[in-house]
Amino acid sequence: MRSSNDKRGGWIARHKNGAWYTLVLIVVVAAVCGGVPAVAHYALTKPFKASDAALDEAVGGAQRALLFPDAGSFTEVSAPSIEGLNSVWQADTGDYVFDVQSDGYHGPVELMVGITADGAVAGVQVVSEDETDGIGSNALTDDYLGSFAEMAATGTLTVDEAASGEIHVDGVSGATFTSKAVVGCLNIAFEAYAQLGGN
Amino acid sequence: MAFNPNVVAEQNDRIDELAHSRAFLVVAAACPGLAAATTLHAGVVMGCVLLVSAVCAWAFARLVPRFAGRLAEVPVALMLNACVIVLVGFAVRVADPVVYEDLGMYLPLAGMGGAASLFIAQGGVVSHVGGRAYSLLDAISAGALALSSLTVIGFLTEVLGTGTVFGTAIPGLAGSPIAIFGKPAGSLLLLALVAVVLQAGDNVAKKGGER
Repeated sequence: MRSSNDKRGGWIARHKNGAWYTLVLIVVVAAVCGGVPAVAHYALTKPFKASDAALDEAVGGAQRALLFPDAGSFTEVSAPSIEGLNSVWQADTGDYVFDVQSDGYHGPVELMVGITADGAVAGVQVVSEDETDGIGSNALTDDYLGSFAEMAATGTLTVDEAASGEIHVDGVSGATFTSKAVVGCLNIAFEAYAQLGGN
Repeated sequence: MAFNPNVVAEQNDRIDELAHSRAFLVVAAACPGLAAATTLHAGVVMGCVLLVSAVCAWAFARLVPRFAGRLAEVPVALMLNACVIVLVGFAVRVADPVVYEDLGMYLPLAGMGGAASLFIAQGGVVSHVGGRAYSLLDAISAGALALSSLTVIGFLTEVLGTGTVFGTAIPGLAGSPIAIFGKPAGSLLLLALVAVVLQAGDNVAKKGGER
């Protein structure tokens, strides 16, 4: 006597090459294969946020270490409320790293500005940008960003003609918007440094 | 010009034998991950994803024909494999976000490489009775060999690219001519060396069997 299992297996074997069975099977499998990752993605929202935060910390930590290679550790400090200032980190040596952003040609240009405890620019690292390759990106090269090293972190910089109280710096020809974004980031960092008690 | 059917048949057999050799399968599985296996860590992660995908592809190849007809077998098997690769990607993102970000698109590519090599080995997306036999042990060993290859390639790429071995700097290593093996083209050379070793092993085993 045939068992119910044999009858089920037999039914599938008899119908699995049929058009309707094939259609329903493909639709069901597509729904399952789409639904399971969707549900998993929703269920993993918190772990994904934690992993994104860990990634930001890892990337940011690497860039901070590039600015101050001698620092043993960095601690995030309370950032002054300044538009464009994302975060402030202080090294165990007393130096500061400011994560700042300013509008460039194609959106925000985010930079990491290192300022030493003595009040001088230690260096500038690019965190993210979407400027035009070969045009705006010319203002984000190591050469141009390196030209701000050892500059006193005080005053207001400008690529235009300097007004009273402003300091003129050279921009990059053909990359005015991006040059202004870089200078804008530096100004935000200088202002934050001043509010934290520097210069 | 008409080809002699015996010659054509013999050539087809030789190509078929080549395409199902262990060396070919390991190269096919590991190739998509070569450019991204720039560190030991990245190589290990990609290799593990590849191994899991290959084993799941083996399992689906045997399960799917039981409930899917001839028309539905391939799309159902492909959808199931894609679902597994996506879920494995989620797991890597949670477990190691840095390497997940570094590998980007290469992670699912490595998974598909593992599944595709399994398709080649068994002669199709699903396995049928009377088709080319490919056991679970075969699938695991091929995946493990590809994992080992990517691990070695990642390690050598990292060593030759950074000039350090587990944190110890080796003077002149990064600037030496062998540093080419640390570039993507060099990774292909390393994979070719792996294929040579595997093929040599297969030839020895074949000669031993013939005796």
